[in-house]
Amino acid sequence: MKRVMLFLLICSVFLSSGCDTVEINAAAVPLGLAMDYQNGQSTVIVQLAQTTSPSSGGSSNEPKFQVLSAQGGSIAEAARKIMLELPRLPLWSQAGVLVVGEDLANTDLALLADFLARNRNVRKNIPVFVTIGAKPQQVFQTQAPLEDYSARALSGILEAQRYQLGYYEPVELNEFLQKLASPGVEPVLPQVRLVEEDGKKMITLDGLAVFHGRKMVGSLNENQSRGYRWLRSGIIQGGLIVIPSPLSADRHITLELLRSQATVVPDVQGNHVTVHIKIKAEGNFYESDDPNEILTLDGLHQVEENGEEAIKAQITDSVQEAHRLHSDIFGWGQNLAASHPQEWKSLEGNWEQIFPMIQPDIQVEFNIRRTYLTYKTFPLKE
Amino acid sequence: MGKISDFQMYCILSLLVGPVAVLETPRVMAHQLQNNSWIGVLAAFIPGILIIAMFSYIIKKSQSPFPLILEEHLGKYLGKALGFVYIFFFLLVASFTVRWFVDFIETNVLPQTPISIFIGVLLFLGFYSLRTGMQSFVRVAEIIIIVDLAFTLIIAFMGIGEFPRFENLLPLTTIHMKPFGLGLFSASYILGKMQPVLTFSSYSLNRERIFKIMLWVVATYVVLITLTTLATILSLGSLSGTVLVFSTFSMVRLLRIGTFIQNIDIVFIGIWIMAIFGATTLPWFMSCYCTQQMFHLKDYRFLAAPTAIIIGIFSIVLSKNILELIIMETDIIPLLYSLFFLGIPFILFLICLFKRAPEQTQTTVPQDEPA
Amino acid sequence: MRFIKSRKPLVDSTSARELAQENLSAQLQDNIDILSKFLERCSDAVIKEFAFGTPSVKAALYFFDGLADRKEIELNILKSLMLELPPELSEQSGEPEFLKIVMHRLLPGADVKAISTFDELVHHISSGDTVLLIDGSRGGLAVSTRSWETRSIDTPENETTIFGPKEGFNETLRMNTALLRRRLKSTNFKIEGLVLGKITKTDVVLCYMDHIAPPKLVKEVQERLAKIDIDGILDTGYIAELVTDEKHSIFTQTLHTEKPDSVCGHLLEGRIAILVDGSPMALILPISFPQYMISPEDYYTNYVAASLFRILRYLAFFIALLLPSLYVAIITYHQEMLPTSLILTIAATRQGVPFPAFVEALILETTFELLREAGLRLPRSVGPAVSIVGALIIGDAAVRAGLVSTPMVVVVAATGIASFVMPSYNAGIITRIARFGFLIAAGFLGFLGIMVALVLMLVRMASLSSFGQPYLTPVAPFDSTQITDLLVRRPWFAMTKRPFLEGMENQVRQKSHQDGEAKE
Repeated sequence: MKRVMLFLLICSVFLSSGCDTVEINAAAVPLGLAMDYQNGQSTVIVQLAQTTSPSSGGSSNEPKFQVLSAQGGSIAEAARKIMLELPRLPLWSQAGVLVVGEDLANTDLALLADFLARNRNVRKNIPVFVTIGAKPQQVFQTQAPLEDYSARALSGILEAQRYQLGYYEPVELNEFLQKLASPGVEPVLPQVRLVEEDGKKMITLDGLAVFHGRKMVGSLNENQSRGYRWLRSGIIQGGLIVIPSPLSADRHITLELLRSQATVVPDVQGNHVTVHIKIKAEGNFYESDDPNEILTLDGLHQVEENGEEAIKAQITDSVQEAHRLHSDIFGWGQNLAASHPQEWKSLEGNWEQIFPMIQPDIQVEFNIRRTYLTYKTFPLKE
Repeated sequence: MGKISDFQMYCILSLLVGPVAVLETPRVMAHQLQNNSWIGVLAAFIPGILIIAMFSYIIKKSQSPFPLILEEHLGKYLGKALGFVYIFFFLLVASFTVRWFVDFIETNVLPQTPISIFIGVLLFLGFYSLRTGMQSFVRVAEIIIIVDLAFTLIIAFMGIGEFPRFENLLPLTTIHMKPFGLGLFSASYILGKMQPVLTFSSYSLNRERIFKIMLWVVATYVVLITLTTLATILSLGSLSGTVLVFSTFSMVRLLRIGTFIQNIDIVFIGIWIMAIFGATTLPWFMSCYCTQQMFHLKDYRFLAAPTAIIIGIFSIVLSKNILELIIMETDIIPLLYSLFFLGIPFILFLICLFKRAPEQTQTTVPQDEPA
Repeated sequence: MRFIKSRKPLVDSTSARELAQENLSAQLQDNIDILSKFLERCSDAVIKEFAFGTPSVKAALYFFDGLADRKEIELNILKSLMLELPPELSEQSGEPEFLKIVMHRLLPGADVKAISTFDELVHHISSGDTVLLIDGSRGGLAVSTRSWETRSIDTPENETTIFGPKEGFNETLRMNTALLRRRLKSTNFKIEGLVLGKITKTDVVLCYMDHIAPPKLVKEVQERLAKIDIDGILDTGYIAELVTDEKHSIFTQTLHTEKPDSVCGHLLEGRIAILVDGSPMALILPISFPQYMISPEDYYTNYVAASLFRILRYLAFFIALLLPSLYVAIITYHQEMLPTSLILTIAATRQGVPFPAFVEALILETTFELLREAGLRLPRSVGPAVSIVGALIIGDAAVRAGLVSTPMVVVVAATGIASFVMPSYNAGIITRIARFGFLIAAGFLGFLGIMVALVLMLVRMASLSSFGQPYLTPVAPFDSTQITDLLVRRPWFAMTKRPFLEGMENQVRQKSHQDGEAKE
């Protein structure tokens, strides 16, 4: 009996092996996946890596990728229609970024939300972008500096600026979908734009796309995006703030942010909602072009105050823009639901009207810790 | 079947309770209690203690292992009839577990492979270990528990550590009695799956410590499920209770270690196949064992082949699609399980309450194999 | 069975066997007649007929050339009988007690035994003894003159260690037991002898420490050995296969070692060693699978280092077992697990490789096994040449020709190296065979297939036992006291107890360290 079973098992091995197998030779590696709505049809664009064997090399100025796109009645059909042009099976789960075309974002996110949530081949931990002023095809076609594939360049840029410059935080697909589904919060996505430099096209990040309901309703500019970043939950790390010098208004002082955390406490009185925002940030003194000595205890205190002002201004800017767009990107509704569940029940229905009325009470505390290698301003000769 | 040591008993009982629950309970709980589901799981500790107290009281007051217990307390005819029902009930448990896990694999990793192959493979594992005898299965159970417990804890802690969005847990105060009761029920009825302890206790090395072991199992269950539930809520937020079929698994898919270990879903399924193997083989064994005891057969091993075919066919015809399976999972299975795993033992418990304790003689264990 | 197969059985085997049981006659000529029948066509048998004393007594010497030391025969037997015989003794030659007198007073050899049957006579001369038959005396005398050319005690070739003793067993049983006795100077160290093999009459000894080895185990081994009914035992491997619990399994349940120090270590833990004349391998039982990962050297080096090495060995075991199958599973089923840059590299190297990854792995693994087997059989002088051709040239050329991909070569090479890490050759064989099973499982269902195969293997291993000891102890059944000396090497001062064997009486190895300090 045992032997018979074993025999059957071995037979079944050779008969059935091959379901779900993909040989790497017969597969293509997508690096970036984009979805758009072009000419009234769902469009899927994919950037595929050109896998050449290292011995044959391939000259350096030749692009190492292929951009393919197809249109169909649904996202899934469009994605599979790429097969009409592609002799290989794409390993979709390798796609490291998701780019949403501006047109689709302006049309209706229902076109892709269900697909993204349901499809097992789309990883939920990849960063999502929105194109602005460009089509995803163009973004994928662009050659990025030092990086073979613009799709990987996108996530590289996002990660690099996150700690160095501190403008945009990555938004993973999982977070994006959650915010689309949860009441009391709206998602934002970093925007990708093409710029021309020395006659060469480059990709760059520019602002945040703001969504409301199922559509993109506007965007935050760079300054507003930074304001939005302060209000993100959790600890944010890295970034620079340039502030006017307290001694002379035309001189600049640069502060480096180490970490910052925001506490948001909503308060309800009847129909009136206030939000108390408290930001605790610390950073280092990074640069000063003011020849006067600012690094005294008093001076430092003034610098801190200027820093606080700058942060406050950024936040106010972004809140105003969000108010204008009627989109609760900060998740204050969620905060309210967490702390005042009863009141939220009554407010939820017309939150869209209430949100723009909320006047935040912003308190910022910025502490400078260190000044790096010099503890005085550089003593330039007159 | 030889004697079962304390640790082995712990492993068997954990395998009965744990594997399906880790994958399934976070979703069911989030469905009932949303962000507060972890409180519901924690609270399941109290009904858990009541359940194991009931089991250990029945064990104390009875002389024979499980299917014979029915005859001992309920009389010959009713006991026999119930015994027959239990044979098929355990087969149902095994086939449901198989089918459910196979659908899990199909959904997540290998959608093109026919389900009969997975069912065949899982059943071959169970068949092989039943043929080899329970003793080797019990030993393997120890390894499975050590590996799977460690792995699940790592996964849960990684999930919590990587997504520390504690605002997802708020608000704490919105618990209503009805969903809380339902949630508590969904978290606790699973502990009734320990019911085969009525059989295994007869083979235990020291029967007195069975309550303690069951307590450990309940504690493990509560800790493990609370952690996984927390991890799913933290990482998936409201999605975990609304649309996702396998929310634990969706949480696993989000994890990454550094930049090079990512998308470890298949490892999770692979490790989990060991646990599911345990969770199927045990009810399967119980079915064979009941048959053996009911018909006074010499051995249960030859039953492995016919029951394998029954389980295989049953698990294929169980449901047409995943929606049916989910409805079955949330509506039918809890009722069925709580009837057979909790309801009938409770009747036994009531009968035991009004019975004199058995004379302090060595309990009669039907010897099927030397220790 | 092996030598006299399917030919006509010995013509007069029955009569010869009956004769062999018979007692030696008092008449020398009768004995010589019968013996010459036994020894006909044995060109190495030497029969020396001579006479000694006055009045002269006829006598005969029997020995096998090459097994017995001629010098010793001449000096200790012939010289003392023919030249140094005191005259008063030669007069007693007719008496029935004459043989005893010769034995006690005339033969200066240290080991002289009286024998009475032809059977004994043949056994003694084929063991290298010389048998003296004297006319008029019933029976004969076996004088130990064993001396044949043997390999000297050498370092064991297959179990090299850096620390610790470097002696290894050789093919002579007595030398081997001497190596053991020298290390265990206790009368509790028992070496029970028995003769197995109907034709080979091989000396087999059963070594154990009395009061440490469980008596039940000793009895069980004795019984199983007594049941052996085979024509010949040429190596311990015969016994290993004949006495183990489960015979149809690649999971061997005994340990072979060439190192006397390792044997002593096991004996002190209550295990039993079986040594066979003519084999340099000692057989140790009962053994559980995790013990294959233990090298005797572990106990001679620093315990922290030894523990780390042991963990390394477990890692190597899993690499040797699973790496090719994991690679195949990931490459053909679970590509999403690979980081993008790695998959690009692999995709680039796999361009133009004609085989699916599964077949490629099978081909390369088989090739590796071929090379390994060839390396074992090759004469020393051509060995390096072939391994260079095999490993470097074929491997490199195959990659260049695009027949196989480089990552696969790396995987197979890593697997090969890992499989040499295991201290026990048995474990190596197990992994080599099981690896192919896992490879097939991976080709069938990817990672799930591997896990299914792993569970099957675990169930199989858990169902085995070695002389009543479960094969996976102390992992399953779990034993917290022993598991610490398995994953890591417990320091000697903490090893106050021996690992437990079923039925063990005396588990105390040393006074607890803290107890000792407290008393002082």
